[in-house]
Amino acid sequence: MRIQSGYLLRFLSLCLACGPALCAANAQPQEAVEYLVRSGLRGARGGNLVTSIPSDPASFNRMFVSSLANAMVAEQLSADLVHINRLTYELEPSLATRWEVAADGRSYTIHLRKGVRFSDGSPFTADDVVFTLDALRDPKTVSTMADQIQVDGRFPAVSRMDPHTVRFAWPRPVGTGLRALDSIPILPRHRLWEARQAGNLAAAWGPATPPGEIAGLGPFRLKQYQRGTRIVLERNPYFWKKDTAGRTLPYLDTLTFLIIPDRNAEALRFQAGEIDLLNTMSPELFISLRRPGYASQITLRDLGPGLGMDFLWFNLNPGKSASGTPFLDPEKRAVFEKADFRQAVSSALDREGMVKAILRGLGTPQYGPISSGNRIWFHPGLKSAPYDQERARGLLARVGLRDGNGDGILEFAPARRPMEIILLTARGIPARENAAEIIRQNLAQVGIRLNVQLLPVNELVPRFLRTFDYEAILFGNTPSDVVPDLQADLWYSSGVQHFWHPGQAKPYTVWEEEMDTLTTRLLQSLDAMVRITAFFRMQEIWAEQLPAIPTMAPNILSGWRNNLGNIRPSLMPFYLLWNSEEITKPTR
Amino acid sequence: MRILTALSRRAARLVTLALLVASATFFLSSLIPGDFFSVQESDPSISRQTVERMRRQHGLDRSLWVQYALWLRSCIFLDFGDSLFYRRPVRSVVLEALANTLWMGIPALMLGLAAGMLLGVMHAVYRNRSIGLAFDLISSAALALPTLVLGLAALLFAARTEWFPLGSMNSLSLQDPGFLEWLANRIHHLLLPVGCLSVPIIAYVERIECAAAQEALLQPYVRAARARGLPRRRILLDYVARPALNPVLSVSGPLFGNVLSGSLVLEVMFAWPGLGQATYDALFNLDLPLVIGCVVGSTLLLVVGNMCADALLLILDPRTRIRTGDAR
Repeated sequence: MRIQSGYLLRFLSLCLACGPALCAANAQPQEAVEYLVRSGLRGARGGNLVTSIPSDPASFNRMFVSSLANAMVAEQLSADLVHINRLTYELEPSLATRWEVAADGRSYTIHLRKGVRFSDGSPFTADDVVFTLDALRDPKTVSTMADQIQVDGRFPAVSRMDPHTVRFAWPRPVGTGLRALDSIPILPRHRLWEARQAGNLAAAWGPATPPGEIAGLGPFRLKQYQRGTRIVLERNPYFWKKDTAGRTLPYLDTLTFLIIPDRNAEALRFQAGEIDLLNTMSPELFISLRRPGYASQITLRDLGPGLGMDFLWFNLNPGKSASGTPFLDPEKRAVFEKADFRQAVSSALDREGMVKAILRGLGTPQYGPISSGNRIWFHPGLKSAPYDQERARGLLARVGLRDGNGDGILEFAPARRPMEIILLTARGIPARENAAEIIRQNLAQVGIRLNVQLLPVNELVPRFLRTFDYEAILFGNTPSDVVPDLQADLWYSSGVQHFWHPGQAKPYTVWEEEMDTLTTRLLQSLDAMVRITAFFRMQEIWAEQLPAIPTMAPNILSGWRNNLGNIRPSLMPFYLLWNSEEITKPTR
Repeated sequence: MRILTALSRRAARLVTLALLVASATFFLSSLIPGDFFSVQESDPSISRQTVERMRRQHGLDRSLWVQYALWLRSCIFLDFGDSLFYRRPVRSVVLEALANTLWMGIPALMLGLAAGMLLGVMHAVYRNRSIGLAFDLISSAALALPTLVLGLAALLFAARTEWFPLGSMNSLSLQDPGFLEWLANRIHHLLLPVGCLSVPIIAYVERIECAAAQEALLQPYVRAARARGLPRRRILLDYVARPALNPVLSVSGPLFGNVLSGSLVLEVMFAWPGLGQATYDALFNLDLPLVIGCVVGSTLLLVVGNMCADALLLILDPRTRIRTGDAR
């Protein structure tokens, strides 16, 4: 017994002597986390927030999402280097703590947040950033995000300076700065290296991937996915944001997305309390929920006009098809080419009436190339062409359109042919179908006969991007950011998305030449004042020339249950969920 | 042995039919202008080069015949390519969806056949009374009622009463359930969609069964049974309902088609991830590989349904076996 005690004592002494040294040798150095502290938050941890999406996700990798709904889910699992604040539209640090721009305006040195870990516990370093950008550049990786960071068709050169510093160098100065990096998910190199090498990165985090294999830097991580039913996300224990009280975010324990394809069923489930928030809702549902009985349960918010809006435009393409036939009857095009004609059409449109009849008053008439909801870039002094049929008739007469035979239809060209126009629009979008009908009635009142044809979207798009086989189109455009730079292809006369006359070898008109010059200034200047002045002038030119006639922008209508906290609605996607890590829901 | 031979011949015919239907869908779909990527093309923030690369990646830049040849070759190995929207093999999407559709479809069909036959016989027996008129009116209304309206009414009913869940396959609160709890929850979620799906089937079967039962009631063997003083229940079951089974069984195969078309709407409304919802998604997104996969899945379901109905007929009605033998 005595001997045993002696051994025990010697063993314990050895442990005490060598223990700290052994532990120090085995332990990995734990860097303190450089938390991003969010102020102005109130709430306690816990709760399961339930919302809905209309379809299943194609991928849990933000880089390969297939729809806005898919992006909303994937965004919760990932984080970007810098992020656009959806309330102020300003660029904010995210995984980057700060950055410096070189004197040439092309290179940025980005300092990364230290001590950050992926949701599987692995450390985040500059290698992950380089891996992500290399993956995006890889020709085998086909992601629409690749276009977001390219400048003149070229990617930025990305290099690792040290484990917590990277350098981005663009081929020329970029007016938007690092804004293009918003939402680009930083991927874990240790998880996706092999998939990238094998060329199947896009399929790596598909719907069939076990949740444990997906690791991100977002506020949540995947817990469960049941196809067609639900996606459950749980709190990422390694998330790198805190509130001022020192509680790590997110507040919510879980975030559940129910997959509900039918909007009526979604509305019923929201009313029944199964869903906590609806990012967007129809005007009809919004009005029905405004009844007093719901006020104690639901908060409704009309956020005003969204970034998306509709345009009516005429085919101004003077080109010919492969068979030598002009895309459009030259005499008719000669009429369309006159700015007075387009101004007349604009004046003939009763936009207020459209908003009342189609959107139940929950929309906003539009007169410029971007929505008035874009309060940073929208030109407040833009001249609008109010509904004025007399002005429209006067302008049409100036263009040479007259009703010679008294049948109520104006005639054009020496042969005095009746002004009949075929308007194409997308089938299956009721608001747009109804708008086309109102436009038909409005133009009939000033003597233009419009024949509306509804086509599936997939058939309509090639008409104005490839075959140019149309006379007029009513279609929508929803920019993904408030800055106009991302729509450069629309502004440039050479752009393939310059809808009314795409791909011009050289500017066809004087005003398009001026637009080109201003667009270059907008894209390349680092001076905010120069940029905004250029874009204000572009809006003025647009309002004068009306190459595409703006009609209306539906308001963004949102609703959430009163027990949710820290909801800060935004006009930009994902409307109510952009700050999901800050949202609270009491557990009782 | 005769039954097996007849069934295997039918199986071969029906598989050929499935292949022909799928090929026809392939070529008809190719006539639709634009493709899955056309919508992305209209987004000013996505370059045309990126869209073209996406098309190339999915082989959409190849000629139609090359695409068809590659598709046909894959079909031999039951590989229908990848869904453009879900980025998963079409086969796995369709099989998963098919299983969910069967969860809803088989109970609806069973309920429809059982209730329809029962009500049909009752209708035939009471045809000259006011109850018969009520049967007529109700079955006409049930046949005329669009599934969409029926589904919406059911959802409103569920929302008002809170007796039934408002869609999905199981409850959100269900965490790690035992098998019985899971099954009970699943059945609870199935009640409304199955009810809605079975209404037109009940009405249809009821009409057929009623006509057949009316004919059977006039047969001399029924009069003889009555004269022999057999109990009324036995007469109705053995002498009226059983002979009237034949026409109902003949239509039960094609009724699978009704189940599929009904589920197209109901699955979307009740957030039930079945073949109907997959078809809706595929058509909405112009995801042609998935459209073809769904068509093949539906065709195979119809084929199997018809074969089951044929097998039942061959087993239950000896006359059909003789006719099959003669034809041979």
